[in-house]
Amino acid sequence: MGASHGRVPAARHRDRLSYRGKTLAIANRPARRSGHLASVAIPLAGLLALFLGAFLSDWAYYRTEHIQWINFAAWLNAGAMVLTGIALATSIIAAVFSRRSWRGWWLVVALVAATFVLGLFGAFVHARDAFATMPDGLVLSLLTLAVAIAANWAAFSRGFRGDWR
Amino acid sequence: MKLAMKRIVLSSIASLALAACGSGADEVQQTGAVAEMPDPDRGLLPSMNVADPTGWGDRRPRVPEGFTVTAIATDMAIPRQSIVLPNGDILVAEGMGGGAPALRPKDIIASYIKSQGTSSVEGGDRLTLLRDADGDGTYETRSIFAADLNAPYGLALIDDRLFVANQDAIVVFDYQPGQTVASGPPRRLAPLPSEVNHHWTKAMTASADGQYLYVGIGSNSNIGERGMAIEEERAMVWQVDVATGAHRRYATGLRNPTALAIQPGTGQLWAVVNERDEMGPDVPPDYLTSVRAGGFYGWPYAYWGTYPDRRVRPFKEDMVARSIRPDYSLGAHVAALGVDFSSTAMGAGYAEGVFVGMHGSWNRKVPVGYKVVFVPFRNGRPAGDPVDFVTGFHVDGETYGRPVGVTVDPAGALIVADDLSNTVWRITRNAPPNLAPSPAEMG
Repeated sequence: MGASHGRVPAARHRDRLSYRGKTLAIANRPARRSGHLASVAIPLAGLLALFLGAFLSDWAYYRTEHIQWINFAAWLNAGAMVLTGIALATSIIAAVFSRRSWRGWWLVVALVAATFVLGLFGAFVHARDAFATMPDGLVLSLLTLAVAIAANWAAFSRGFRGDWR
Repeated sequence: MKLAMKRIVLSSIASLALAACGSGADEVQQTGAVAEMPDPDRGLLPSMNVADPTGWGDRRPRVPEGFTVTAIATDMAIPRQSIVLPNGDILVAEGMGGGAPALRPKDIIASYIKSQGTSSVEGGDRLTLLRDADGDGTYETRSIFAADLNAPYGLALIDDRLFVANQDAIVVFDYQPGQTVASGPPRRLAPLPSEVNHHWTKAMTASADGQYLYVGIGSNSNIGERGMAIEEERAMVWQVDVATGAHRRYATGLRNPTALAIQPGTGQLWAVVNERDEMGPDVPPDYLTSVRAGGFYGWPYAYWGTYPDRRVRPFKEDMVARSIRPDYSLGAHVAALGVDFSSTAMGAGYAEGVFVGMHGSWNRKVPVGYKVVFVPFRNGRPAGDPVDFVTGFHVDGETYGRPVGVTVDPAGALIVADDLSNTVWRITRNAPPNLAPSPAEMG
């Protein structure tokens, strides 16, 4: 998403400070804010992989009735929930403390919060024994995955370009 | 595929909505020969209400009019089961087994919660002998009969041999009347299934003719959530040849047969069995049943006869039809851990029947169990409602004790092991007991 090649493609983004030849300032900014953004980006990207794994494991259990798949699903969901909790906290901080308010952060927060709630329901359902997890667990995994994708999309498509420092 | 997914989504939303409604659990449960089970009702989160342990202080368990309860031994190390030896000495097995590693995130949380309702004392892995030499009701002599055992539970005496069911093997001590300490380390008679040991207790009793030991082996899971491969020799009663140690499966499908007893006169084997969890507060009942040779009692495919449990996959439809309905419901989640046949020495009102020790529930909003009941028998079969015999273990949200093994002393007393307060209780008749001939004694 080529913002860092020196040549800035004009003022397509309103959050870019300047298009009057002050490209140095823009080039410097990612270095200053990358730590903050990473605290959101890393857990957000990670939880996507884990929720995807949980969904696939649920699907495998539903299809094969092989018990180990539901154990995988429960642990993958638990790991995803750890990252979702972190992402929720850091995205709230980002939304509150971003220097110039970008309202998009609150969309990210809302979607991460929704992921957390769905994932928590998923954890409860995955605490059931054997096939009592089905089909609720599979459905919840799918919904959680969908919302997690939306949260990632909202953050990566706009927020991480932006105005947080 | 698309349609199937839509159907799944709809049914799942409906069941989640239902789950959110939760369950109204009350104290009254069906007992006896229940014909119809209520519908399962688990909810999104299973109800848990574990014991809140409190010291007895000056309190005592409550017993019926005409009986007295005494603590004959305190500061034990997790007493579970006991037997009364021919000279009146009492042997108590103390120990704590299991320790299966957490399989899922849930197990970490559930085991922490459950541990709040149990004693923090370490299991003794030993047998303690209690003796009342002068017969005044005070057990003034206490000795460690044997130590370094492995979570001993079931006990049986056949002539001069004392059999102990560790959590992984049956071991044998030579026993001479009057002995207070074992003469040496035990011999190993037969290994018992011990991999994982989710339900680790190995209940044991001897057949009336002394040829066999019956051993209760609990399941390795609630309903097969560790897979069925590890349940190969679980949830069953073994019949073990005392001479050779060879075993055969005597009866299967008994989820957790926690105590066994032989019926005086008939020689019939009876068991109390703990049924599965997470089907709601009133389903399915823990039970008392005669154990038929070759019988299948449902676990994990069915409960209370032919009610299917389709949480188990792959499901075996043909096993449901084969499942025998147990004789007598004790109520769901009471956690029956002790059973013994009474004798005329216990007085007219309690002469025919069994005493059942109930450890008490954790998987239920309104606690049940936490008492010893008497199930009256007529013509060799359970007849009538259970009668409270020892209560007061759980009062107003405080838990003072949790009964496990119960043993009828032929001299006219009931021995109750309490693994929460680490006490052995003895309940005696106030009137001098008749010198009735003692029935065959069992562990």
